[in-house]
Amino acid sequence: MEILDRLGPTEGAPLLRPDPRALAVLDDLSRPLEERLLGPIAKARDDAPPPVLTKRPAPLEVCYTDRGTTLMAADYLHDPLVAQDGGLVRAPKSVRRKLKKLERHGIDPDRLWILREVPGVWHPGETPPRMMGRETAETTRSKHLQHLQVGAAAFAVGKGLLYVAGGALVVATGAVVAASAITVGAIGAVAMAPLADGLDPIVLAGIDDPKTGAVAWTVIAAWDEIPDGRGW
Amino acid sequence: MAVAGELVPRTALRGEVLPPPAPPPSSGRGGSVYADFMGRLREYVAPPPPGELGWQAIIGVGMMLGAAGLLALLPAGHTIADGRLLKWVGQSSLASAVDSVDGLVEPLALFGMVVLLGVAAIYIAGWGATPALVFLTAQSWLGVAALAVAVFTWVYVLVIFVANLLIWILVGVAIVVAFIFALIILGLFLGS
Repeated sequence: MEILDRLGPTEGAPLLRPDPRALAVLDDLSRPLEERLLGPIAKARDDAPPPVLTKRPAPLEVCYTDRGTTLMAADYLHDPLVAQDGGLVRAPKSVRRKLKKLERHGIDPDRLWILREVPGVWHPGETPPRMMGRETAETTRSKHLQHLQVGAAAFAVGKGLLYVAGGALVVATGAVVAASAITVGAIGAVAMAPLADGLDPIVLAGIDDPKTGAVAWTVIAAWDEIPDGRGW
Repeated sequence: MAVAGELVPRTALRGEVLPPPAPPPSSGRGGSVYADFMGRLREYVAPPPPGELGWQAIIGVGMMLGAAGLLALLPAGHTIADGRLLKWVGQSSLASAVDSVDGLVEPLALFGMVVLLGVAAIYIAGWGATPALVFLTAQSWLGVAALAVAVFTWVYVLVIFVANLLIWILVGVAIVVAFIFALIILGLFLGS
């Protein structure tokens, strides 16, 4: 157990030198790890970093970075953003597809942990900032651009029709030309707006060692999030 | 394969261990931890549509309402059919064309106002899903289509009016010329 005490989350890293007792714990866990985590990950043709061992963490841990962000590590049921969102875990489509594939291949962890970084200093009890997947933001932006272009095409067609209809309808033509100009400007503005830097949520799957209380973890998903300007 | 020597979660190093928020109710999928987790997975809520798309929709609605106004200003079909002004060319076809677009005035105006409410509702609710984007984009096309119908009907009216006016002028000129010839002939007759 001494070795597991040294693995606590409040310790500095990396602490644990290869130690026969830690390796013994991993040895004990190798079969369930293989059957319940690594095997399904391999079957899903996915890469998983080597598993790492910790003692059982607290349900929610928070620390603050000198970049002005807050790091959270929590069981998915205790993740502040999940709790704020009525128990829903938000993830982009590609990640959901990957996690679904792992489920089909029989992944069966004892615990799922979400590590995330959010902008600003967050304290428990406060409303956490809302985040959005970078993939979702990019897809949405491209969708917005497409729709703006389709709208602009309508005004361009309208302009053409009115030119065909004749110069007597100067007022209407002017309105459509102005609409076209507004639209072209809008497309430029949406296309050029930069997205914020991504912050990574990471999902860890863990297998418990019933004898020692240790947990062997592996990363099963990670993606980028950016702050979502909307409130909850 | 396994590495014993790193801490996980790394991001929580030297962090505070805090009372967590209350866990949300079960996802309803039951079974394993993973099944419950999967039952909670959702896509991010789409951000609201860009304001520019709303402006496009409003311009489209403006065109639709403008089209309704232009159509409302058209002379009635029976007035065209009964009148004598356009008797030379296209009177019946113009009357029937005006009759057929006349029925569009109220639906266009009503539809435009309902769409305006819809646009306002989308932006108030911040609803940015694909159906909302399609709804907003469709308004620019509908506006242009409605305006095109109104403008081309007016162009048709103007063309028929101008054609008939030209014929009236020609008829007038012909009458004047005939009158002058008649006077000349009469003058020649009286002079002889």
